[in-house]
Amino acid sequence: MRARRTATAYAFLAPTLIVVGVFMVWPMLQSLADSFYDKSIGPGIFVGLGNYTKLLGDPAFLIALRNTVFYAVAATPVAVALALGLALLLNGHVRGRGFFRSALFLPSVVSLGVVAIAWKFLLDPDIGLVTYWLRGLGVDVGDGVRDADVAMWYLIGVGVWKNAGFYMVMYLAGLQTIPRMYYEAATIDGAGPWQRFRKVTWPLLGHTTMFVFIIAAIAALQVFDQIFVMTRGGPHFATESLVYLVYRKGLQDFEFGYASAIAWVLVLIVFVLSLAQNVFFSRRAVRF
Amino acid sequence: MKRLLALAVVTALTLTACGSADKSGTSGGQVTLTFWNGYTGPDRPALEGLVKKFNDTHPGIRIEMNIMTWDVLFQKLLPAYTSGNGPDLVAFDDAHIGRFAAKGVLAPLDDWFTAERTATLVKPAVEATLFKGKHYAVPMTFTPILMYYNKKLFKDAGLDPGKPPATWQEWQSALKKLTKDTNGDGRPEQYGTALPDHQTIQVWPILLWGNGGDLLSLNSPQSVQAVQQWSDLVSKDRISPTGLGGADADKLFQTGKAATNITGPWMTAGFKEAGLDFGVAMVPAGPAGAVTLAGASSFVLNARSDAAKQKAAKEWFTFWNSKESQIAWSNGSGFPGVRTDVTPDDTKANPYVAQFAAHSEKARVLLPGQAEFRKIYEEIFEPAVQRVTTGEAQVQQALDEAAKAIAPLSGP
Repeated sequence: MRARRTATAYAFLAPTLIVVGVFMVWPMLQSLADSFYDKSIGPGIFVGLGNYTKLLGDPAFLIALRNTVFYAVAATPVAVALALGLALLLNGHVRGRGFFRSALFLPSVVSLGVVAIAWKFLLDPDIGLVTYWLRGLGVDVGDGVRDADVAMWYLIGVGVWKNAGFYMVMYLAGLQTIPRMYYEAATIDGAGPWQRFRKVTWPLLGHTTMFVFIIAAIAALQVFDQIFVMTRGGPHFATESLVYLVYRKGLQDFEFGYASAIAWVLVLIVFVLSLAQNVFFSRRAVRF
Repeated sequence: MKRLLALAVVTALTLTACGSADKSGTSGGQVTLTFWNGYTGPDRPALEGLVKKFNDTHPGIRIEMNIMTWDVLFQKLLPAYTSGNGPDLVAFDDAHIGRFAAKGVLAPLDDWFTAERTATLVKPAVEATLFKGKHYAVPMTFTPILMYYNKKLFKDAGLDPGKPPATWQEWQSALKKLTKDTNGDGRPEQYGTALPDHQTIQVWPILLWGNGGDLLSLNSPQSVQAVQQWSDLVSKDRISPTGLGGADADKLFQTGKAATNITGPWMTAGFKEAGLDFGVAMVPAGPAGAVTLAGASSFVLNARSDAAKQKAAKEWFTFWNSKESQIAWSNGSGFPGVRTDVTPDDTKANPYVAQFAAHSEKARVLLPGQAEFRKIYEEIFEPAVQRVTTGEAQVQQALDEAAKAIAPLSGP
C-alpha cells in the first residue's frame, strides 16, 4: 500500500522531475563534463583542468571576476538594507500602504531585460529624461553608462531598484511572524524605538536576513540582464560580469569548453559563499 | 493503477509533442528549404515578397523562412548546425562568413560562380564570399555606407547644405562648427557627428582606410595617425559623444542632436518619418582617397543539406540574383543590390537607391575571410578605440597592444 502511494506520488512529480532533469540537471552535468574539454564544435579535445588553469592567467576572466565581486559587494548590502528599511516603514500604519507596497514590488515582477531598455533611455546622458531633469537641478551626471568610471554604479542602481521590492516583501513576511507581545513587553521595560528594533526586531528577523542575504548575493553574482541591455560589458570591459563573460565566450566566441569552466567557477563561488553565509548566520540566530 | 497509467500516458504525450517535427524536408518530390535571417526591419516585406514569388514560381521547392532578431539568430546558429538541426539557408553579414566557414558547417559553392554570373556581380561582394580561396556564400545584398547630414543644422552653422564636405579637411572644420556648447558647461548640446564605437555598423575602419591604414596593420604610421586625429577630435573638440552604440548614434541624428551620421540606406525611412531635412553624401575623402565601408550580406548553405536541397538552394540564389529580383529588392529595401547592371531608371521608386549605388565601387568589405573577425573587431579594436577616445590610453601604445593581440588571430 505504502509503496503504491509512493509510486503515485512519483507519477505526479514525474512531469516536473523530467523537465527539471532534462532542462536543468542534465545540461549542468553536461557543462561540467564540457569544462574539461577544449571544445567548440564536435567532440573536442580532453584537456583535464586545462581550462581552469588557463582562467587564472586570463585577464578577461580576472577583470570579470573583479567586476562581479565589486557589483555583489556594493549591490547586496544596499538592496538588503533598503528592503529592510522599506519593510519597517510599510509594516506600520502608513497612508497608502497597499499602494506603496505594490509599487515597490512591481519592478521585481517585470522582466529586467525590458525595464533595462527603459532605464537606458531615461539615463541617456544626451537625450535621457532623468539626466535632463538632474541637469536642470544643477547635478552633473557626466557620461552615464558610457563612462567606464561610473557605469557600474548605474547598473548597481538598476539592479537594486529591481530587487529591493522583492526582498522587502520577504522582510514584511518576517515582520508579521514576530509576536506583538515582545514589543509590548519591551515598551513596558522602557525600550525606545531603536532599542526595540535592535533587541527584538533584528534578532528575530535573523532567519529572514540570512535567506534574503543569500538570495541577494546569488542574484548579484549572476548579474547579466541590465549589462546585456545597457552596456554590453563595456566601455572596454569595465562592466563585464562573469555571466556576461560566459555568454561572450560561449555564444559569441563558440568556446563552449572554456565558457563552461567559467560557469563552474561561478557555481563554486556561489556555493562556498552560500555555505559561509549559512554558517555565519546560523551561529547568530536566536531561538525562542 | 488506472490513475498511474493515465498519468504516464499524459506525460508521454506532452514529451512527444515537444519533440516531433517533420525534418525530412523532401517528401513527395517537394523540397523544403529552411531559411533563417534577421530582416525584422522595414526591408522585411521586400524579402517576404520575393520568397513568396519564388515559392509560387518554383512548384517543386518551398522556402520556409524564419525571421528572428540577429542576436537570437547568432545565439542559435552554431548549436543548431552542430546538433544537425541547422537551417539550410541563412543570410548574414559578410563578416561572419569566415567565422562559420572555419567551423566547417558551410557548404562550398564554387560551382554556382560561373564566369558569366560573377561578371554581373559587384566585385567586392563576390570577393567577400571567399574563405581560403573557396566560395562559401552567394552575395545577397550590397551597399556603401554613406554620410547623412542635417541640412537645417548645416544652414544654422553657416555651411552650405547644397555642398557637403568632400575632403577630411573640409569635414573636420565643418564638424567643429557643427559642435555647439550653447550653455558653456563643457558638454555640447549639439554634436558635429555621432561616432559609434560598439554594436554598430563599423565606422572607425572607414577613418583608418581614409588615411591609408587598416585593421590588420593597426600600428602602421597611417593607422596611428588616423586614430590620433579622430580621437583628438572626439576627446578635445567633442565632435561626438563616446560610448555610442549604432542605435544611439542614429537616435542622436534623428533628434537633431548630431549634425551628421554615417550609416546605411536602411535609415532613410526612419529619418524621413521623423521629419528630418537631410541629405546623403559620400564619406569625405581622406588623404588616401575616397573609401567607405560596404554593408554586405550573403546567403550561406548548410554543409549537411542533401543534394536535392543543395540544388534547390542554388536555384534560389540564381532567382535572387536575377535582375528582376534585385530591382524589386532595391526598391523595397533601399539597398543598391549586388548587380552592376541595375540603372537608376530601374530604381526610380526609391530615389535613395541610385544615390547609394553611385558609390558602390568605393565600398570595401571589412576583414573578408577572417575566421576571427569578431574577436579582432569587437574584443580588441573597439575597446582600444574606446580607451583612446575617453583619454584612458595613449594612441600609439593602445594600437601597439591591439596589433600584437590581433596578429595571432588573423589569417592570410
